[in-house]
Amino acid sequence: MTELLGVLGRYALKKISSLGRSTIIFLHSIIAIPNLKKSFPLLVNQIYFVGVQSIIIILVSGLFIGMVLGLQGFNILKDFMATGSLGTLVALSIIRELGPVVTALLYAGRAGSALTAEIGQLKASEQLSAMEMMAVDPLRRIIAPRFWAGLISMPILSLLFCLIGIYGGKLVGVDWLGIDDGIFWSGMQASVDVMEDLGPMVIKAAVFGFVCTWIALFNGYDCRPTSEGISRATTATVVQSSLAVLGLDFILTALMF
Amino acid sequence: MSEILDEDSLIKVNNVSFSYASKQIYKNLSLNIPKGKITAILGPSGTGKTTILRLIGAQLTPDEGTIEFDGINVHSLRRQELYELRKRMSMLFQSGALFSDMNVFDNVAFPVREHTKLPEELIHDVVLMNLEAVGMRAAAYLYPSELSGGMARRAALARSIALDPDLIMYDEPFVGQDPITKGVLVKLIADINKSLGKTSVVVTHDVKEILEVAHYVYILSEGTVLGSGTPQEIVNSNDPRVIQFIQGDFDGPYAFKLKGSQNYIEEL
Repeated sequence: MTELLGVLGRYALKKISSLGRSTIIFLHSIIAIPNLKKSFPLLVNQIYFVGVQSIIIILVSGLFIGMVLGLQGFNILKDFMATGSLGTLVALSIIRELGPVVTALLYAGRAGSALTAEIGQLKASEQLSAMEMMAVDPLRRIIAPRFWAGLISMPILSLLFCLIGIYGGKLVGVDWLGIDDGIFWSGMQASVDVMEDLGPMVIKAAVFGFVCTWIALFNGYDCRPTSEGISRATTATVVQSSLAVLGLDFILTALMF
Repeated sequence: MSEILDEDSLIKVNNVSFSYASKQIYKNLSLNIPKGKITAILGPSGTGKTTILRLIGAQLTPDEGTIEFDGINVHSLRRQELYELRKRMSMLFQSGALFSDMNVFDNVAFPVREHTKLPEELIHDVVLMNLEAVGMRAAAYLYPSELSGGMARRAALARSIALDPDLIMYDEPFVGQDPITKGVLVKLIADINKSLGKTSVVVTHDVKEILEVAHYVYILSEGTVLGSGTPQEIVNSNDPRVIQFIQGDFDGPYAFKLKGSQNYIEEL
């Protein structure tokens, strides 16, 4: 029993210390007066890396998820003679839930893991140490632009996912299964509200962007500087980000809808 | 044995103790690094030679004791002050630690662009002059992945002198290099010290190479200073541990077999 308590205590202390380190690193990274001339090009580069390069996977996934939703929705709604509500079903499902959540999961898998591996490799090859010894703070030069890029990119990626997802639902429902075009779009237009649906979607996406990007950056910065350490950190990023997104989704949904 | 006086020192390490992962690396270590000279820090593998450089650069913090750089306790500084002080030091890492996403030119230009407001034309000239000094001007537009180990170290050396620091720390500069490259690096370390008058600290276990150029030598072992003095004094030392290290004898006070291993016959 004492041994079990000891193990639990050590585990708790390790986690608390890790959380403390993460908070300190976070504060050192983002609390600074930005030098726009130097920071802006770095930010643009990172938006390209984490955002623009994620667009393809987001669009393809969004299209297929929208198509599946259209097909499943049609099969269920036709039993209730309510296929006219397919537009509402597809739009609300994607905007309120699937858009931000699936985008965040894909983001964690594509950009989050890449960020962790990149930072871990910079650490293992002593590039971060070299930067410190050149009096350049790696938290400001390396971590901060990646963090802001993630925070900016996620809501935009989520919006793109929603747009293409709804279009996928329309392709199946209207173009393939023959639902009336006007009924599909007007149902959607009548039920989707900018403040009640799109607003919370953007908030969810921003929160997920914050959490996923921070988990990725901290795991990379704090990893053991070996191949195995980087590999573990990358896995931890995907697992922790996915669980955090799903858990936070429930909390945010309960608070906002 | 000659001593380094406090007033001649750029760096003073005072009674430093340091442990890492419950292993004691240093116990009351004290040493002085003389201004404008080349100081070699030698010692067997695993004695924490690189650790002393990281302590001087305040990338690590000692458990006890102080380290002073030009009279400033480096571990008492605030983050911003520490980064300001680091502009006066530089370090050549064992791997070179060149930024892999930049070519050699941009690597050398990096600290200059970060810390000065020089126009790009002037930065161009500064970088080329530094690269010329290490014989790497022709490789200015190659990426680190296209360089050999020796070339990468020379490029990193050009980067480390770019801001004209007071102190240059070399972490195992000769490891894994062929004899010609070792000769080149020895010449560069000596030339930089002579022409720029910079204080240099070279951590290495390549005895022959460093004794050719060092002005002062410390041998570290088991967390403390085993011997110190001019290269001549070290070579003439009577301490059997210093003799074993300098001559590279495979057995002696430093046993070939690790202590604490079980009885061989019993373990079989």
